Amino acid sequence: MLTLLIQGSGFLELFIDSCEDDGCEETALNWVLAAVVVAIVCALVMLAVKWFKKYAAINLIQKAWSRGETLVLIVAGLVPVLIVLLVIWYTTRNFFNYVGMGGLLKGVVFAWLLYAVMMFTGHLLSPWRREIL
Amino acid sequence: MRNVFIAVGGSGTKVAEALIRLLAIGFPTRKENGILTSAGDSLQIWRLDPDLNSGAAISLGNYLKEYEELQSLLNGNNNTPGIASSRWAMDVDTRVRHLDPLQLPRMSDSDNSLKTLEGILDSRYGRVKKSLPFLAPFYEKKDLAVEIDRGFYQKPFIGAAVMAVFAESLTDENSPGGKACSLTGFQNVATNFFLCGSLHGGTGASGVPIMGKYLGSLKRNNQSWDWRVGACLLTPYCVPPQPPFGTLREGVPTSQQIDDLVKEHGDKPAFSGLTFEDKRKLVEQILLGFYAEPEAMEARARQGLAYYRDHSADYFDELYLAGKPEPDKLKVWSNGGKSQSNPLNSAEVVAALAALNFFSRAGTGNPESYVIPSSTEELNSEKMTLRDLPCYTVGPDEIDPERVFLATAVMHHLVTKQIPWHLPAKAFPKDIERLRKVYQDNESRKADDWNRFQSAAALFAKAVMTTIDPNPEHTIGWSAEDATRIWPYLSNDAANVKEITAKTAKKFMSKEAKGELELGDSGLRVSTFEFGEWCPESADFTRGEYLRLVWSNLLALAHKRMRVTAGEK
Repeated sequence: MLTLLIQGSGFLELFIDSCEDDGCEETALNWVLAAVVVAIVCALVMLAVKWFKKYAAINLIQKAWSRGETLVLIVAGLVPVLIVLLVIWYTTRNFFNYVGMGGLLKGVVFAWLLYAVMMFTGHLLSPWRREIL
Repeated sequence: MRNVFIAVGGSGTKVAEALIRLLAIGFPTRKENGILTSAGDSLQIWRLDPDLNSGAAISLGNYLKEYEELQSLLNGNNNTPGIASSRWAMDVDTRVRHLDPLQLPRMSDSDNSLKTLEGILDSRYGRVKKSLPFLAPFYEKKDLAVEIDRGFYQKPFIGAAVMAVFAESLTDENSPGGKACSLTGFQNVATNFFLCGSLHGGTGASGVPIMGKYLGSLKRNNQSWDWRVGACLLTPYCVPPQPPFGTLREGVPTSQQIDDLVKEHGDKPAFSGLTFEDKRKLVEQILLGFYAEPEAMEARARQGLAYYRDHSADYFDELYLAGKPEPDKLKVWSNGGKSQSNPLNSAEVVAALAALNFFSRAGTGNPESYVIPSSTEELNSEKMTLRDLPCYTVGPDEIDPERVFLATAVMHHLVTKQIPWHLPAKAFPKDIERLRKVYQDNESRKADDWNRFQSAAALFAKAVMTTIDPNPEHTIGWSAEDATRIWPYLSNDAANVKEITAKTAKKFMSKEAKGELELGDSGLRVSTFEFGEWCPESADFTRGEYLRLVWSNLLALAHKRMRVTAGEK
């Protein structure tokens, strides 16, 4: 239902350079889904990294995270999002052919935004909110 | 509990300084709600010495200012003028009561104005008559004529007569001494009076027994007041050098002899700051033999002890004796006054520990017996370590000075280096949740506390180092071993901080610390996570209260380490 709604809204066309062949909308949908999945996985991985670093901290100073450190972690997570999406885009023929460079950039920005929203939400919904507010 | 430390003479004054240093470092005298502390007790210092501006008195005054600063950094908003108070350590009245035994009441203006033995014995006041006619035959003319406003030149037979007149004057609340002591304020108040002075000196040897007898008599006559009277007698633990020239073998010096010696020695340190006339007086005084004679110290101490045994010991609840088998040798000769500024001696720290033992109401043995613990054969009294210091008790707890120093040093490190003060309190980890809760809505309190903890930590470091560091400007009689080992805990140097931080780091999947923090024979193991849990229950705790809780917990963790000798390595 949601997929149909997205397909019908023209939203997907933003993520694809050329849509002259049949099935291009499906390619666009797949590309958006890939961006969403990568953003979610990277956000979860980065939150897990933070949890582990805090868990394994050997003293109180290491365990206490400043807002700056938290922002650095979030920004650092943008890099794997970019790399993974690049790899997916390059190794998937349809993405390379139809999504194109413009779609790639838009997809990466979309994934970054989604990743950042998830990271902030993850912090806000946990006791770590004190480290970011 | 109210405590009064009566410093008699220069040695007693140095012990008073050592006592204030030990209190600043954290030495306890009581246990409150399971926490060892000295806070809640109070201390007044009386100083009985005709030498009002001695180097020791100036040094004590300077250290009291530091103690006051430390206490003000650690208290809340509870400031009583003149009282250095916080929940970290004992309330100390920083106004030292100077009891000048030469300030005596007088019948007429000419009475007690001449500061010589003759001048005092030839005076009268109230019902007290002139005693010169009866006592003069016991003294040589020069003993009666010498000026005694810089002490009694290690001549107890001069000091005893003056002190007896002074003690008698204390019964009159309007006399200078009576006003300074204001003993009526102590009636019906449980008080520990502790006297301290040398056995071999002039002021101490004469002042301690006479003041002890006076207070002891008052106590006996008023049993309900709950007074205790104790004393620490210092046997020869340091010897001054010989004066710049010797005494005359016989006769009196001529004016020419005096002028020649002033010309020859007038620019030496002992004469610095004196007018030409004062230099002449000092030369004459030395020529007549009025100075501390190192060779006679032991004999005088022996006589002093015999006097206590026969006449004085019964007036004291506790008598302690501290000294050194081999006295330390002082380098600068002085006639008293500002120039007599000796470094703090390790024996004076031992005497201060005796005062703490007395203030904690610990008894040694029973009243019918002597307890004579002595140092071990291994002890090198010129190079003492903290493990050589005697332990004392507070209730059932034995207080080992080495562990106290270790606890204070570790507390210094933990509070200044292991709390994420640089972060907003709301970002403190849950492992220091109580501190976080206190500070998270009050960042200004956190910033203020942090600033004051840093300043207090600097004073702790100074107190520790200037008490045991064998720098001849500060101390004498210590080995460098402890100062070297304790410094990393107090240091801001990155390598030292890293080393201690590694030892206080916790093991994986456990709160236990990775390493042991050591000092001499003592050690303690604490991780920052254990430390983070220590915080007073009430949110309105003061800085002093917080530090005392941390310190007490650290002391409880401190233990004797197994000594590894060279052969076992």
